[in-house]
Amino acid sequence: MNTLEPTTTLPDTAVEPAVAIEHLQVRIPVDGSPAPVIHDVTLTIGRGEAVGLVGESGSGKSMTARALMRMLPDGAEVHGAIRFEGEDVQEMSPRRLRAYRASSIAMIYQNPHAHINPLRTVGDFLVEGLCQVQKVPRREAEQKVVALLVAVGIADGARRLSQYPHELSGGLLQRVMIAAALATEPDVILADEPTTALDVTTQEEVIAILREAQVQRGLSILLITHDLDLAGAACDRLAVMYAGQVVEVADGAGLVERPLHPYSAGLLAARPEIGVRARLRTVPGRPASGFEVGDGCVFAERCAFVTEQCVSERPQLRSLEGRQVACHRAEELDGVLLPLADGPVGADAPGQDKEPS
Amino acid sequence: MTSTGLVTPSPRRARRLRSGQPARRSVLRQDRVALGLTIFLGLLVLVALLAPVLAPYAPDETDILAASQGPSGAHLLGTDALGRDLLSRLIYGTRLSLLGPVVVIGVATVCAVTLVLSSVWIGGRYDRFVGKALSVLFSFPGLILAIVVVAIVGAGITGPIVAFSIAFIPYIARVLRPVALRERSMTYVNALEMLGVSGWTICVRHLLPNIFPFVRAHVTIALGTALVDLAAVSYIGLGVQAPAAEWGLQISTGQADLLAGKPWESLTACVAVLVVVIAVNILGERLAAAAQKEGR
Repeated sequence: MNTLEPTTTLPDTAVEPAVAIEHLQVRIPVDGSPAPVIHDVTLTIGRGEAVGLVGESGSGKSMTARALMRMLPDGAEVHGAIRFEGEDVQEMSPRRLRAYRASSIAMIYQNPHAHINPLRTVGDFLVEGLCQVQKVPRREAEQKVVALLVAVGIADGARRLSQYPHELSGGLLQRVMIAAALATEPDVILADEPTTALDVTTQEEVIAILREAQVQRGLSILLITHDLDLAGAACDRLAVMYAGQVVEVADGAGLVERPLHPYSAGLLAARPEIGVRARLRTVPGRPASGFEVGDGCVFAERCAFVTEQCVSERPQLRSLEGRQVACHRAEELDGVLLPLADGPVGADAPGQDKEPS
Repeated sequence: MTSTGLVTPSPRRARRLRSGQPARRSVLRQDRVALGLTIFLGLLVLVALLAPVLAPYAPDETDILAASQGPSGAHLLGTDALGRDLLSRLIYGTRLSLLGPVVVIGVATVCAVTLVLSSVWIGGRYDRFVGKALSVLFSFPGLILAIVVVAIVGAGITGPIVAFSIAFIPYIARVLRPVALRERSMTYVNALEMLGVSGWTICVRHLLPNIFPFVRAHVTIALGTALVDLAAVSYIGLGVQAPAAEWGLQISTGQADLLAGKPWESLTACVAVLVVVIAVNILGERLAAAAQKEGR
């Protein structure tokens, strides 16, 4: 039955990773009492590596990124370790934290229009980090920024500098945001749904720009998205998140060909396929938030393979064949999940279209 | 890509945005009434500055033989009980009557904006403390505070100015706080924080300019209230002292004549106060409406 040999070596512990998150737990106050939004996130991003963080809305993807920036809502309780190049982000002094945000890590957002001061020009925005924080003279900063705009595919950068955010389209402004993120020469870029607000062709271009930046500048990237295909195409490794826990970590091809966690299999099955006119399959039940799950496995309520152990004991993320999975039955389900990825997950009769609940 | 699209701004809007003064020009350009009132208030300041040139007589030149007269060719608004020219006193009165409120609101605004931005930014215990302190301050009527200060430092214009400068802080802070809070919660502010931009820079270069239209509107309205309050203090005899010319004081000294059926001194000063207060109120309301529209 046990066809997979558990391995003890992780692929990326050889060198100090750029970012290492270990057993991160975050609770934020809801109506006065702390509610957990992140249960157990363990994730590393190697130097120069692109990691995709995939999951449904409310699974805690953005909260993980915010924890990494130390930008959690007021009153948040954080347990576990978040390390940037070995340094604990939680322990940083205010001065160190600003320097960290200014030059080590940068963020790109889903809605660029909302993340830029509408009353200042694009140029003001782009040089802000350089001039205000790194004290680069304005003229020099502008030259650098124009070069960056060219790098992200905006040829007439000098003209764009004097324009206002509302004069730029979403795709164009997202490129500006990427240029702004690159301007301070960070080591890590967090891209929080950077392409969700863009149309498909622009999406591809933006991802290609990020990919190029990663390769040419040796950047580490954390790409947060709910689009599994996009993440698979853009990232070296994928981490699947559900209800505040990372349930599986694998390389893109490995995940698609052989999911080890029932939830990953469900996500894969729910992808629409071009050219096939069929009712979209869904993962049964509705996505749970971090504060809704009990002591057991976070996915237990919706899982077709649930056992008593799953309900009572939460599985930890463990290494398996160079991948990581948080499921008690990963070994026995290996191979069972694969065909399910092509049929309705959790349904009694595989292969049969079922009315989504 | 976009310059050919529908989102091209009008040249006026683009120029306004580029000027770095978010709304000033456009409000006055689009709103004739606001423009007219601004010009009127500007002229009033000019009158105060040029009082020695404009006034037909010296403000304290008495002509006892021509006391308590109605309007005439020699004295356009008549004379007071000491035979001083009322028009000249009204013109000279513009100085103290306007200077007081301007100083009061200037000081109060600087304090209020500083407190609001810092408390909204820092939050937590400091924010709660500032909120409570302002509430306590708000419960003191400015006039009572002014009387207390006058009791300590003595009558004159300094006491009431100090008192009202303090009393107007919560008055202005209370309206600005929600605006600043909303601006602070905008995601672009978060993004700036994540860029590592300092809190000081974000407050001064981003928050302050973006709440400026609201500051301007509410400060204009508060100016009218301060004018009335300071005139009232002088009217009850605790503010500006005779023989200086000031509108509130003029209303008070004209009372004897008023009861004798010669209302000129009190009446002209009253009208002056009234006209200025109405002007700044209408202007303030217009600016507030424009700021509201601007702020989506």
